Amino acid sequence: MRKNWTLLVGISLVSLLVICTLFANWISPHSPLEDFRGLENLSPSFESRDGKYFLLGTDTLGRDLLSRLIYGARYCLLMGCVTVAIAGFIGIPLGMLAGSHTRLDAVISKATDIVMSFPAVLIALVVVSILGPGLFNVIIAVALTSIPSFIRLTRSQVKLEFRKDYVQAAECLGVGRIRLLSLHIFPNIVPSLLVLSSLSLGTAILESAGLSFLNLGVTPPAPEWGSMIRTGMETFLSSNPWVSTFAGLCIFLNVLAFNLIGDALRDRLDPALRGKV
Amino acid sequence: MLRTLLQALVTLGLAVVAVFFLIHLVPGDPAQIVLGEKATPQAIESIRKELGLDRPLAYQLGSYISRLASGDLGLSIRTGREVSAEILDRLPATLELSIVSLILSALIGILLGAFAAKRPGGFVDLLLGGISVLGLSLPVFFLGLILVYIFGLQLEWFPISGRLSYSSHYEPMTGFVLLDSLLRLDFQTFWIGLQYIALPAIALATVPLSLIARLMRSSLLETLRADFIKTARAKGAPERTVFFRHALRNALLPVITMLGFQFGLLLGGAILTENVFAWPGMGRWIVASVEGRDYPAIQGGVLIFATGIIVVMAITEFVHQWVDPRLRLKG
Repeated sequence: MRKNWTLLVGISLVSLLVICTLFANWISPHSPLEDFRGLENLSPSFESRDGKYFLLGTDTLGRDLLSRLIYGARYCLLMGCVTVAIAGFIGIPLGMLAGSHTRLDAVISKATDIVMSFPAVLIALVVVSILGPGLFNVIIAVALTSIPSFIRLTRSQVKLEFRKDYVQAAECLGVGRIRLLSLHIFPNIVPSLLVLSSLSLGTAILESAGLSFLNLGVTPPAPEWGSMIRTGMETFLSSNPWVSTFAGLCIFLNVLAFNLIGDALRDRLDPALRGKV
Repeated sequence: MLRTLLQALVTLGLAVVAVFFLIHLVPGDPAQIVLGEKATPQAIESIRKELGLDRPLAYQLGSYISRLASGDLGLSIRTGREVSAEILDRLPATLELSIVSLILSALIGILLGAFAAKRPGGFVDLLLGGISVLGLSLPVFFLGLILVYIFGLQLEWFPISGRLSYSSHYEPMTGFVLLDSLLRLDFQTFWIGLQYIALPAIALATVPLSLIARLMRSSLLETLRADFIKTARAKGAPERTVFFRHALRNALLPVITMLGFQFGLLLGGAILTENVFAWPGMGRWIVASVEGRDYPAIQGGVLIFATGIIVVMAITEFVHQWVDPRLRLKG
């Protein structure tokens, strides 16, 4: 019962995120970039100002916070999904190679171990220092840091599958390596990869928001949540704590959602994964 | 032993080469990027010379390594100072923050995990569940802001930025405020330093704390099901002996390995945390260097981070072999 409940919360939060992403133009009351002069630093309220409503208040430039948060969903979902897709696209084949080929395994696993021992933020910083800030570069940086966990999980799952009878049966029938990996083994490890993808989405969102918070990712005036926390910090301590607070809550709830979904999926699809991802 | 050391050295070598190539991977001309669009050709040429970019690649690599060997990390483009001097100014602050956080997260994490495992589903277990949900989903920089707001602004228990107040007389000896003040028996400065480090350390400790506690819990639960625990109970050993001497000690093994790994995570978290609390350490400096495209500084900073992590990983490996004799026999 409890598990159903967490999965439900996760799915509703993610649906909200998707709805905001798709229909931001229609839902948001104002443009995320429009400055309302004379209406700066408003607190959240249900009262109208000059005939307009600013439910969550405005920031230092008089932009509607609610609209900015809704548009921010686009960055969040885009960065999360694209980075995980790239990481999976590169990490899964490499993991399959490592899992099925002993000699390559030594090299790939060692390299994965080394990369994983460094903090993701540091690796992302290096990539950004090479490529410069910006949405596209952040995606590359965060994707790079997510690849190792895909390699590691795919490798260990492939190794487990190789011990099973159906693989031996296929090998006896003369099925080639590539065919065996892609058509026989891959479908069997999809559930665990789904779990990892969901958990990685959370991490990727956290990381890309962190880079934007450091002014090295998506830069203002784009309504990205991490960079909104950063710009809100200047007024956070004095007059208007709302900008940082709501942006932070948005990041928290969405990461939480993907973590809850990941945990629930793991408990359903593959309880043996506990502790592995 | 030897194998671990060798592996660490090889990794370090790889890190040096990777850091060297960092500047060569920059698309376009690094000198142009450092100086911006409007730079004169002469200025670009002089920066190229200063960075050594006008020489052949092999020569550059050779001279980079030989300069590294003498501790020369080059000159910072932003400040013109030696990168090594800039790092020495800031490294103690980051190390102090990370070490305090590591101690905090290890102590609380192990205790929390142990109590949670003692009574699964009990109060501590639920508390641990709550903390780990927060710890793994809350951005560390947002957590920092919340702590600042509640404990710094509303309750006014702790100072919210920096490492020491300007009024306190502190002359660096080792650069570690807490250590220095203790060595000088200056308890007032120690107390102030502790107040300043409290919030950043708590913010930084949350993620490792939840990971350590979760691992401790599952490791202890697994150990408690082991046959030797049954044997100990069958022999009539008191429950306390069974728990502390037999179960806890064995359950700690994976946690110790993880502590080394956590140190790397902590250094990464420190980059974000330092920026929230204006902590004058490596993290703020390296972010400013990346923003300013100060390549010698970035290279030096990354190399120091990498070295720190590699050393800690090697030490962890040694400790692990020392506490678990089975690993020594395997070689």
